[in-house]
Amino acid sequence: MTPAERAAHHEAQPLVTELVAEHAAAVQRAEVLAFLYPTTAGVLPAVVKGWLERWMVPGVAFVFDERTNRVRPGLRNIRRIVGVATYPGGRASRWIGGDGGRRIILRALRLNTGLRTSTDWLGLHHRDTVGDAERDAFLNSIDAAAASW
Amino acid sequence: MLVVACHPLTESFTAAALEQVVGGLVAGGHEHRPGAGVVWRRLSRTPDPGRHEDDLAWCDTLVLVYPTWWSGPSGLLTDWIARCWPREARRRHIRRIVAVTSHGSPRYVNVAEGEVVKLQLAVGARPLRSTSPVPLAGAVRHRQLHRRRTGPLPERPAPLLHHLTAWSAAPRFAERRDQTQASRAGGPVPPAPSSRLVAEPPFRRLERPNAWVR
Repeated sequence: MTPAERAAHHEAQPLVTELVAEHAAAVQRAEVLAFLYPTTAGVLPAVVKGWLERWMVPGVAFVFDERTNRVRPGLRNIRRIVGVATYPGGRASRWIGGDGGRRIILRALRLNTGLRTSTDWLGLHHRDTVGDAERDAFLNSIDAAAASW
Repeated sequence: MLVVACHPLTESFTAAALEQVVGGLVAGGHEHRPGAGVVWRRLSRTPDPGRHEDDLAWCDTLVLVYPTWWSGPSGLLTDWIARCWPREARRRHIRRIVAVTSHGSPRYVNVAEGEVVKLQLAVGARPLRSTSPVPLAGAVRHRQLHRRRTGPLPERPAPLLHHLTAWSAAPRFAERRDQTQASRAGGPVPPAPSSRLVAEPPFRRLERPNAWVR
C-alpha cells in the first residue's frame, strides 16, 4: 500500500490508481476467488498480501452500515474461496506455525463475503524434497477439485 | 536493540507508537547501556536488505511496530520478514521479540480472524534459534541444552506481545527524557504533562464517523 492509497483509505474515493480500480471491479464481478502461492516465512507472499490490502477498501470489501454503525460484508458475489499452497515443511510444522496465509484468506477475507460462501484448500507439503510421483498426484488432485469449483 | 516500524504514512498512529517506543527505551536508559544501543528503522517500499541484515545480526532484541491489516502483517512487513529472516543459525542471538501493533477491530473479530502475526512471531520465530527442523521440539531442546550448560536462562526468551487497544497519544518522548535526566541529576524536575492525550495528536484524525476504527 502506497502512502497515497493509505491516505485515501477512508476518503470518498479510496481506489487511487486505475489498475487497482480495475482489480477491484474484477473481484466484484467474480464468483470464485482462487489463490495459488508458495508459503514464504509462514504466511502468504508479500505481493499477495499487498494485493489484498490495495483493493480491500471501504465500499469494495466491506460497507459501513449507517443505521447500525457496523461493518457489513461487501463481497456477497463471491460463491467460493479456494487456495492452492505449497509448504516447505510437513503437516506438523504447518499446524504449529498456524498457517497464516490460509487464515488470512479463509478467515479475514471470508468474513467479508456472504454467509453461504464455501471454501476449499489444497496444500503440498515438503515442497523442496517431495518426489515427482507426489507432485503429479498433487497436480491431479487440483485438477479433480477444480472441476467442482 | 532494533526497532522496526512499518506504516506508509509518516503522520500515523503507528508513527506515534514508534515515538513512544523509542522514547520509552531512551527514558529507560537503553541508549546508554554499553553495546545495547537503540537503532530504529522505518521500512520504506524499497528496503535495503543488506543494512537490515547487519542490524539483525547486531541486535539482541527486536521490536516490531506495525498496524495489523486483515489479521496479518502489512505487505511491507511481510516482505521484510521474508527477506531478512532466512533460516540461519545467526538469528539465535535474538533473545526477545516484542510486537507493538494496533487493531482496527474488536478482540472477538481478531480471534475469528486467527491472529496471524502473533502465531508467526510466537511460534514461527522460535525455530530461528534452534537447529532442529521441527520447530517446537527444537526450541524445547535448545532451552534444555541451554539450561544444562549455563544454569537457568538469564531471561525468558518467549516473545512479549502488547495490544494497543485504545487511542492514547502520549506526550512527546523528549519531555519524558528531560524529566528522567533531571531527576537523575537531582535538579528541579519539570512538571509532568497533565493528560496522556495531547490536544493536537501527531496522527491525522478521520473526518468520517469511524466506528470500525477504535
